[in-house]
Amino acid sequence: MTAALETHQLAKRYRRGVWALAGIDLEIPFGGITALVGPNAAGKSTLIKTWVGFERPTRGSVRVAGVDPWRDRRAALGHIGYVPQSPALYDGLSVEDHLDLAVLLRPGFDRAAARERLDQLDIPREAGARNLSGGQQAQVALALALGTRADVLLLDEPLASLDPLARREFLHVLTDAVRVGGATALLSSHIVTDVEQACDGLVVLGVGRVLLQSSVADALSTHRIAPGDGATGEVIATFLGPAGEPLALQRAGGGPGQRPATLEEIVLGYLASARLTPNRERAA
Amino acid sequence: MSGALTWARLSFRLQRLEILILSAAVLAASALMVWWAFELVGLSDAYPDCDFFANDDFLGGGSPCQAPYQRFWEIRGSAEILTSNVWLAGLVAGLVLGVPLVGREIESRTAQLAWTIGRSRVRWFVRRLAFAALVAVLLLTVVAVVTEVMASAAAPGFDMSRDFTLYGARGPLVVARGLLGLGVGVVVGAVLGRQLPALLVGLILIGLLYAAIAYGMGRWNETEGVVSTIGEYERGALYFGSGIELESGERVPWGDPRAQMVAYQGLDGRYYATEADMNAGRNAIGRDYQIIIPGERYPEIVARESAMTVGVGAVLVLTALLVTQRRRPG
Repeated sequence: MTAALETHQLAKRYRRGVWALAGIDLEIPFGGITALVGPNAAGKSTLIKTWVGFERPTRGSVRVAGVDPWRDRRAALGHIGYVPQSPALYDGLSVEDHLDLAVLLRPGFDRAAARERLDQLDIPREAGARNLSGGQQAQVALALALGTRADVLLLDEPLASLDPLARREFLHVLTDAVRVGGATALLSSHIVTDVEQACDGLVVLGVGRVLLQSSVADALSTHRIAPGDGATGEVIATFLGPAGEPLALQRAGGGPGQRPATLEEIVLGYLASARLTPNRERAA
Repeated sequence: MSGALTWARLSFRLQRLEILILSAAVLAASALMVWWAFELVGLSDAYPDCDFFANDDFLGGGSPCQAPYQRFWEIRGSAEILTSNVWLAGLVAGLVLGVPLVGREIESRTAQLAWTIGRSRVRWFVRRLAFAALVAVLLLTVVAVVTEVMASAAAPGFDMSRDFTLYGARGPLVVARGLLGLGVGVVVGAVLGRQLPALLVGLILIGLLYAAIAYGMGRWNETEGVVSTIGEYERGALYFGSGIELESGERVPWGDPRAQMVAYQGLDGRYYATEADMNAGRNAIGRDYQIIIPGERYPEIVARESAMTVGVGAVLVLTALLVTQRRRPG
């Protein structure tokens, strides 16, 4: 069966010679929300932009619902709803104008659903985009993406500039829409606590390569935290805990002093493992 | 139809600042020129016996034509400040409308929104361009018509539809140059993705293109010029140069040493180096000549240059479309 999002040996090098992605193989099935987590400069935006057709792969290929956006951009975009990193709305247009624009640009745009969503959030549709708060702008961008009725939603760190309440509202709208509409969403973030409640799947990206791809449930059930010197299983990496104590993330296993890992600890452990194996040169 | 109107409304809002500034400038300049045109027409109607193109030495202090003559040329002088810059105004207006089409979308990252909600960048581009081109054509048509009216008022009794006076500063060439400026603006905006640098680079590119087109068209037109003597000078002709046609048939410019020997002109129209030669009718140097295109070819020549200018603009627009298709949205 075709995956919602695929990459095969995807590598992307920018002009300055920096490899943003270093040979990525990913397959994200249809349905649910997958978190794409990684530090700044991990390549999350680049990865999402190759699916949208904004960045051309240096090597390898990408597919959206089986369509290569670099061979058939029109068909690929027909499957995609995209929310960029900072909501880039038109300063000179009102919220309602944005909906009018979307109707003109995308035949079949669901204006009624978008209006309903915005009204539920008390976002004034006659207000100019420049007068909205950051959270409201993000919600407008999400409403526009959802209004396309695309089956794949790509959200590029939409929470980064939002306050905690706005983040929660955003995720609530997103999860509701995905559950009801049966869409697939890929939500990138560099803060795992933002997304762990909302996501079913997890992809950890560490400077240009995939460190972990798993369902959230599997990740939680198969990883444990041990004190720095008490690891008994396959150790992924050691890193410092909140009080500066050494912690070891290990796969399965069990022993004295060990406990189930939180999602944040799993991500931190995999990111720490990436530091041990510098990777950007690998693509070369 | 309602889709087109909605698109026009949204497009206007997206370019409101440029459109309002250009409209205000066009309206102010047009009002001024129409006012002056009315004054000129009023003078020529009120003094039908006065020749406003006579040498004012002949008018004399007590002539009833003296005061209207002075007023006529005062107004013409003021109007020339505007009309002499119209060639540039069309190009700049097009540039100002063209740069934000893609450049601003990339700079403010709204292209990410437009290019993912819409599935076809070509369609988006064509629609944005169509509105900007329509605005440019409408505004510059006003300028083109008003400058025609002004030119006719400033030359009472002459048929300005067959006259190269103010060539390029009136009529369809003004609109054509606006479309050239639009093409330059769109392409530099799309390539650079930032408005201010695009405006500066666009101005330089416009200067180069304008010079190249003017040079190319000048050479082309010159090949079609006709040779006449200066005495046969036809008002309203397009002028390419003059000099002396030597007795051998060779044509040399006035700067040529042989032409500079000219000192006397005989009744037969020939030039001589000395008065004695002239009186004796011997050792003639030659006759003067000029190369011109007569005014009656004005409609044809202006249509040709307009088509050429719009053609270059169209090539630039196609280039901008290709760039837009391939580039990152910021």
